Amino acid sequence: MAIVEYKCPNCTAPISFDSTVQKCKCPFCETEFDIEQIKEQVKNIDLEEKEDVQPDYYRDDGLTVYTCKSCGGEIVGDASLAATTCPFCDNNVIITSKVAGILKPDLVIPFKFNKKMAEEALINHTKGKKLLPAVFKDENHIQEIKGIYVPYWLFSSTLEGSYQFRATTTSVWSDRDYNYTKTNIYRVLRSGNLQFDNVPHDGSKLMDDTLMESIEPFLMEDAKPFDPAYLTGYYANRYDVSKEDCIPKVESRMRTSFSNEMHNSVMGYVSVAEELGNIQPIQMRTQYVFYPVWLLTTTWNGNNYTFAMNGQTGKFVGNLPLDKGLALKYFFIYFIVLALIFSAIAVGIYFIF
Amino acid sequence: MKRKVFISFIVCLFVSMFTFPTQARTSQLGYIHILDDAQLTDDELSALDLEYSLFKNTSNLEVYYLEVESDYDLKSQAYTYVKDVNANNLILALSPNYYQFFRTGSAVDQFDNDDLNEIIVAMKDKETKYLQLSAFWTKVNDKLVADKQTIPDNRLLPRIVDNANLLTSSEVKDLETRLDDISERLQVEVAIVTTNGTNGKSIQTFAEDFYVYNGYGMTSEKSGILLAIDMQNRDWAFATHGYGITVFTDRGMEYMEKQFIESLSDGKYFEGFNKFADLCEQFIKQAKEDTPYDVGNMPKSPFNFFWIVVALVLAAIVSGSIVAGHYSQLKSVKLAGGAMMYASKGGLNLTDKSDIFVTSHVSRVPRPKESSSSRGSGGSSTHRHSSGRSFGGRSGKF
Repeated sequence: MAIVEYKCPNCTAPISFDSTVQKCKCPFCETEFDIEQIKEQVKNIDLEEKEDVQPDYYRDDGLTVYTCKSCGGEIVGDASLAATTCPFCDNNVIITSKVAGILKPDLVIPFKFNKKMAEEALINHTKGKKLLPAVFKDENHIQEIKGIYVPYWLFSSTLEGSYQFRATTTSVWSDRDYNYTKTNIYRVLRSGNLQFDNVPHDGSKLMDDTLMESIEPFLMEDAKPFDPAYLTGYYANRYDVSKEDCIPKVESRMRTSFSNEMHNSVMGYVSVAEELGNIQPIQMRTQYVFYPVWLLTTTWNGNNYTFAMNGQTGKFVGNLPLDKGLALKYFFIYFIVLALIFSAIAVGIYFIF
Repeated sequence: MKRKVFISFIVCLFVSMFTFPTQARTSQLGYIHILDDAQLTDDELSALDLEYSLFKNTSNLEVYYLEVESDYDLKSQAYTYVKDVNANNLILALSPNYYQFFRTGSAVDQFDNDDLNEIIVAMKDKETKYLQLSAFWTKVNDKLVADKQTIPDNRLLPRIVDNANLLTSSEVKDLETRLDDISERLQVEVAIVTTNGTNGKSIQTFAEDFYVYNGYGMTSEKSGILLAIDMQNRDWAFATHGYGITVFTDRGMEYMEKQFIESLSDGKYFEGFNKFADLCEQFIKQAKEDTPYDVGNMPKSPFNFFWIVVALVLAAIVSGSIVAGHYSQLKSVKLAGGAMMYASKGGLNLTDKSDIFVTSHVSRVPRPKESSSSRGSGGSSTHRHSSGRSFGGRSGKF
């Protein structure tokens, strides 16, 4: 069985996960079901399948084609596609083999924000941006809004290290002939450890790493043990970037934080310079999870703009275009006002002293 | 036998007149020294002294006639008789084979080489020492009288005399109006003269002569200030007289110099002269309040437009920063940098912490000393002009 299409136990309509009630809800008879209840439906599917499922056929461009069980329509996807909706009959399709066996995520954070909220968030995002072209809000066309479960690798480790600094304090005084400066030099040693839990890195080639890092953090308190039922109504992909490939970036983040904390622990000096810094080899514990992300693409003035929203926290990011003329206008207004104020101060000081 | 003794005695007496060392003699007042006192009688010496003292009343020049014994280093020999080497001295020193004139102070300006030659010529054809010396004093006196032109009661020239043609006629007119206004209103003459050369005179003397012999100066005190510019040597001078000495203190003139001489150096004469006029007006007004600008009481330096530039630059920087802040609102896609949001609540757990004192050193920087002004107490220094008048002033190059 390549594809699973979850059905409402009541009325057999396609059922999907509703983020508002945090349960599977049938859009037709409006009955709500716990994940546990929905899970039963596919109990007979062996989620421990080890072989990768065979699609119906392969295309020349590397994409694969599946057949919708409800309407027979063709569903096209790449090798990492794990959940989608049938473009013809809107059925929610899960390709279970992409999330089974060794591909089964340990955890999933279910969506807490729905599509409408994502659209509203986009509107909010454009508010209050002084240098945004005024027409952007009205003129930009939403091309696509997708709720995607993005595959993430999570890394946990306790970093241990020792740092040595050369720090100075100074005191100054004067007599009739000279100004004196006394500099005291200290050797400062710090050793310690810092524990990091669940530092994420997205495991999908398609998703831009910087964009995905921008919507962090994700909070583990909402993480649930994984079940394909959570994916219903959303898109999902299995990982296509190995955890080994993700480790360097994550390690770098951890090291940066560790070093900063080390520097911050040296207080009360005029100058601090690092002389030696050494971190023990890092042992990483990993987990594989699905995190909820709303992806929006819009076009305006011939350019595409991509926005992302953290499906758990609602954090919305995306770069907006700059209205250069407006920027210049603001600059000149500020400049003229400030120039007058500062000049008046300069003249005032001259006359007072 | 008696006749022989008597003749040899006469011969000895005769010979002794030529072989015994002659007696040197200095006159009572000290201005004449002769080696052979036989050449001048007492009466003659007194008469010469009298002539000299009469002459001295009308001049501040010390005139010496000094005969010295050695042909070498006439100067050192003569100067032993000179009362004050820093005064205005005209010294004629004569050794057996040479003569030499020495001039100090104003004598340098008053007697040029031609004058000195004339004196010698006048002395040469006189038969007796008395006649020679008499001719000496007369000639010196004549020279001084010739120099001492009459001092007019009223001003003979305009307040701006542009002999070096540095200004256009309309500029001259403008300046004249300005200078006339200041001078009449404040009763202190403010005048400017430009020239192409001073005939060997120092610029200070030139300025003072010009002031005196052209009748400058307001009120009975003949108060005023004259700015003289010599284009040939690129010299300038202030000459202050009367109340002008009070108004323009040494420190005050130092300040004035700094304000406008640069304009002259740059060739901006009209601009510089106007600044001079403005400064004079400012200084005279200040002095009339009984507090002329001096050490510890200097005018505020004019507003430096540099600070306006600083204000503009600051405004640009701040404006730029604010706009940059607005711009950063648009950019929300960025890397986190660190991972502190995933660090355990306690943060960095320090297992070892030590701050060890290693060493210390002291460095020192000498404090800038207050630049000592030449006159710590202020005031105006003055000196005597050849006419006997006192002048204050300052000079320099541009």
